[in-house]
Amino acid sequence: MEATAPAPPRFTVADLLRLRRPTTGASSLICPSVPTSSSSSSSTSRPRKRHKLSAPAPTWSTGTVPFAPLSHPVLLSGTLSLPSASSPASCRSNCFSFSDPSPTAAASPASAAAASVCCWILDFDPAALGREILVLAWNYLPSVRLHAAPGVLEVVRWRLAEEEEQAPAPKCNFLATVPFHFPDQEPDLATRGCAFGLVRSVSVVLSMPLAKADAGSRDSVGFLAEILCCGCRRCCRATPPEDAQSHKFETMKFVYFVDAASMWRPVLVWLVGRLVYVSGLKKKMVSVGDKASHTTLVSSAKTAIAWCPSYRGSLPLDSFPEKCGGDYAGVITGIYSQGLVVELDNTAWLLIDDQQLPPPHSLRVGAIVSVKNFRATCLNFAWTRIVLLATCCKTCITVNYFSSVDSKSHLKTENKGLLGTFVDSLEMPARFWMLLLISCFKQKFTKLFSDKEILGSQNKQGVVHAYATKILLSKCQPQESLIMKFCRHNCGSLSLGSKLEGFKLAIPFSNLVFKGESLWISSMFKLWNGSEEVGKSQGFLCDGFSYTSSTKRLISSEDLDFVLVGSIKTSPLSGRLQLVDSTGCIDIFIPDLPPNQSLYGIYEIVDYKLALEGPVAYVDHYDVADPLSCKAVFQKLPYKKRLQHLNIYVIVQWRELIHIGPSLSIPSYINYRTRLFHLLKLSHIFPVNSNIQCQSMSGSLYAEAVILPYVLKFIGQGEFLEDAEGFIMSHSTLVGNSGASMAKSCNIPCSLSFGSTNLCGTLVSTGSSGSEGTVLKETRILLEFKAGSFMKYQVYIRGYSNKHSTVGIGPGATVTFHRVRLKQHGLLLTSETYIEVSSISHANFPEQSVISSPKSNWLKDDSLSTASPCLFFHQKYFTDSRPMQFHCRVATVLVLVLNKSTNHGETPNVRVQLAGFILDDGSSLCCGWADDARAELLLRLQEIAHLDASVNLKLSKGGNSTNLQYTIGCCLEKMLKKHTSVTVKNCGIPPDFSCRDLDASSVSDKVLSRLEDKLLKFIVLSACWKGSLNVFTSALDPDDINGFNVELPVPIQNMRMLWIEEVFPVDPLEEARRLCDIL
Amino acid sequence: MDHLLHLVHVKILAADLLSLTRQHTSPPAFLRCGRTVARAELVGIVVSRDLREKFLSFVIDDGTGCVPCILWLNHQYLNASTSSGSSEFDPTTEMALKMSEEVRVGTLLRVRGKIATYSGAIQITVRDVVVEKDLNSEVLHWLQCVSLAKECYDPPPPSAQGGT
Repeated sequence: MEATAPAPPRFTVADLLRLRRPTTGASSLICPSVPTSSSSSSSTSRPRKRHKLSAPAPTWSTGTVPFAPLSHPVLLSGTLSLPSASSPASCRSNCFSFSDPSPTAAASPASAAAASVCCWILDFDPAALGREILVLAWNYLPSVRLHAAPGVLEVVRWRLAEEEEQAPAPKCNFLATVPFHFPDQEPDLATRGCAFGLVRSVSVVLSMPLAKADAGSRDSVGFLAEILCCGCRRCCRATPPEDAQSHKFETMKFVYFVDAASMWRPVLVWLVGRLVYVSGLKKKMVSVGDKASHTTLVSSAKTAIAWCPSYRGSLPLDSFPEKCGGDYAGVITGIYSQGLVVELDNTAWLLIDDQQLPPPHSLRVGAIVSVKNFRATCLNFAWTRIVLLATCCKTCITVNYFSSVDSKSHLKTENKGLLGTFVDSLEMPARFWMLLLISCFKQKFTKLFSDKEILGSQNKQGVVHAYATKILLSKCQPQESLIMKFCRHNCGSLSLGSKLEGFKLAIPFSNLVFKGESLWISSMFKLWNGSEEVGKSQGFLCDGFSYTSSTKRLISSEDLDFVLVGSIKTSPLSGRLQLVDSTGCIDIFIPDLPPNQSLYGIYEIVDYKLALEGPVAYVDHYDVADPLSCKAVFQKLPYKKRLQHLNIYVIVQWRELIHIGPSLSIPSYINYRTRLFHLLKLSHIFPVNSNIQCQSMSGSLYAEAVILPYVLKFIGQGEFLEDAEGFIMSHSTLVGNSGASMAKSCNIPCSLSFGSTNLCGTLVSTGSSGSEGTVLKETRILLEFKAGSFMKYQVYIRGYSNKHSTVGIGPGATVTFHRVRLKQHGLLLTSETYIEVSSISHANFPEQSVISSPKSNWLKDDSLSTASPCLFFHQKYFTDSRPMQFHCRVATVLVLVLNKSTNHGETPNVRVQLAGFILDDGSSLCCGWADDARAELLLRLQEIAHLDASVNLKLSKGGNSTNLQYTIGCCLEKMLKKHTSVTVKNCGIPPDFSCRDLDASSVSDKVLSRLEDKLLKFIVLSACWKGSLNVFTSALDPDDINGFNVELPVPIQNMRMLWIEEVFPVDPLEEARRLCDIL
Repeated sequence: MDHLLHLVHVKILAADLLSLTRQHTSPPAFLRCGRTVARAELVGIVVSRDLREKFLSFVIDDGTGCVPCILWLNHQYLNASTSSGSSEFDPTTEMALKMSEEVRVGTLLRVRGKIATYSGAIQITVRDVVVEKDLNSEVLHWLQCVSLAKECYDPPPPSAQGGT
């Protein structure tokens, strides 16, 4: 005991509830070197032993918030009790309750009125129930839902509070009573039933229908405990046993803990494998299915439980393989599919039965758990082999060591839909494969298609469901009731067994690319080591090669054990046909592709050839996980192509493409409810996105359209008529309804084929046409799709009107604004707006006008107009106070400080706070400094701001491409909104320039993303690779820039410093004339 | 101030570039009127273009001569060898590729780069190219070459004047 240390401050549950992030705390921050000794024979030995298990090395990255330690020691105290009735259902079955102590605190859950939290406790002892405990070390995990249930307390180390004053009296009784409550001591004939034996398993809480006599009352709620009892005569009497040696535990009994006793489940789970004596039970007949019935012991108000702390026996193993058993303890190394799939020790896969085992709070990556009663089986899938621990209604999962490296709780969605029901109906091996398949399809297609199309809904199958049904056929198992499963102790044999060769992996394409690279590297490695001969490689067909040229390898799908599932698109960059999913893409060659073939939807390709083509070269192995492992697929590892010279593509015959959905069709509500459509002729869609992913992203899309003077009327689906004459006659009433004059003027029969939908209709004039259908007037409209993100375009609006369009725009100018949005109180410019200047007035250029025209405001400035062109080489000018003019180019950018600016209203803008340039005019180098508009011009910010970020900052599909729907300007503004200010420093030696020498940082101490880093490099590189400009400068005192902590390399310290006053473009003709005059 | 001409992109005509005195050092140095020059800027019309996987080779003609130029397109290999995976986040290669697309036969081009030799002949290792849309740029460049030569490049070096 830490008697000499000052008592740490008390901490209450109410204090815990104020914590909003995962937190760890302890009563002492000094780790005691020797565990406190105490009576080891006593069930109430205090303090509890420190847990022997050491924390596993956190070699995995969980990506969640880690637990934050409290900086000072605290002593958390409270009452441990059974879960309260108000706890969430899943907590009632698994957790204890920990509440602030109150004078009336007792084991009864009803008394827990004070602040309480769910509680998991290591080294649990039933004697602690209803008593105040001191928690010496703990983790607290707040609820992920704000204003909802309180979080979970994980008790790592504890002791009873009352032992501070007095040591416990050693207990020598054979049985220790579990203090649920204290039953009457009077014998009651109706409750003489008892059970003495080993708890084998415990069911989940279930509801059981009552017999007909009790019709009208509610179903009973409780759980079953399977107890391996002794059947001797002494045990049949309702007297507590005194020893275990004279008993044989061979008879199976089921005890149904019902109503209030259903709250005892967390204790019964802890008692699995332990010897118990349950008294005060009633005997009842329980029907199991239609045929069987069991005599079951049912708890009553007088039921009491005692357990035998000294018993060291173990449960006998069941000899039948189809029955569950065993105990596996391991470290959780991965949790996937909303907690249904748990990886243990990087080796075994635990598949949690969704119906019966809610994942406990403490099931997190890094925790050590113990799994009891499962079926271990080896699954031989086509591409890999795994060890599966299949859980069932008898499985218990307990936590032996809490994880402090991961704080993510895995919550299941309650709303399953057809797919969830289908998954539940599958046998364990098929269910595991199905969860893997769902994970693959989600990764691959939820960005390209809607969730509903891929995963389905409550009443409609999605693509993954339909695909799985094709593979699994009718392998679904009939569902039994929980009671039947539990009592029969038969979870069914795994009929699929090893017949899993048909279950192939629908590989994500990033993993496929990586697999291709691995195959190539292995092949090159063998080749280099001489273990593989030309044309005789294992499983390869080789087209032959020479050491100086490239080689190609064709691998048959039969040797690969995975299928290709993806969409087919034409690459906007290369023009090649590609097999695409959200993780990546791969070129596809279809030699017999029919012309004009629609390729909408998702295709499965089972039979194909994978081609690897590249130069013969030695390539080093790089150490990464197997891209086909289940972990790699579940984890969605961000693979990037590393071997740039390796060309990977697949060769497929057209007949091998199997369309698996979704079908392209007009939604049914349009088919059947809508009969009349306006016709629009789209003339322009913007912004133009060439990126596939961009097309599926949210964001505004604009379309300019002309309303045609016709409407299209449909008569139904698939009702094709043999000829147009018959069509018109049979639908004359329809046409007539729209007006006799229209029917006369125009009724053109038409049919529309759209994917699987065929519609028939007629074109009807809307009356705006003249005789013979000539169009009198066209109405242009601008359509906006997916409104809501419009604000992002307003960056350009200002930039456009203030900067890009300063030539001519001003008072007195006549301009036409094209492609603007019509708002209630005016016009709103968009990124696609352009301004046509019809006439301009030279009278009043605005004073704040900055750039563009060399004839504009600055030449009216007397001081600047007196500046004479000169060279950096002419040292004499640098001492003059008058302005100087240079014709120069940016050699490199030394420093760039970008700020978020709010000068222009509600939309934040970009401001160049300072930029340092090395300028080159052909005579010498000079160091020029500028800010604001001058710096923007030298950086050419306006030129590049409107460029499409997806094209210019091109990233691989696996990257964070969500930022790429904007232009460079938008990305820049978004970055500054996040970081407020960023600084780029050039560590290279001028005038040479390399992006590798750029060091970008944020003042907000946030790490710049790689995309942001690339964006800044792009801006600097653009500035360094542009043409000449004219600059007006004045001499600069180097001390003026000291405030920016700019450390200049030695060559620059020796250079002259200039402050750039103005920047304007070069007029070559005028410059040439001036120079000619001088010469 | 020392006049460090080798750090500057000297504005030069093809004939003058091709007649620079080469010093057989490693890396080779080039002399113009006793001054070391290492970088050059030329303006001329593209008269040939040869695009390969790793580089674009082209020739510009400014009326006084033809200068072979090479624009490297393989920066990603350099980056890949220094820090794994960084090439994807370095825009240099993409921008060099974009630049290479602007080099078309018949366009007026401003070229900046280092002076190098290949197979004994002088060429430019291109740093950047700018397409000049105003044909007067070529005239301006000629005049600048003359002006700079007169004022900056060709006066006798201080050492030849006896030093100061």
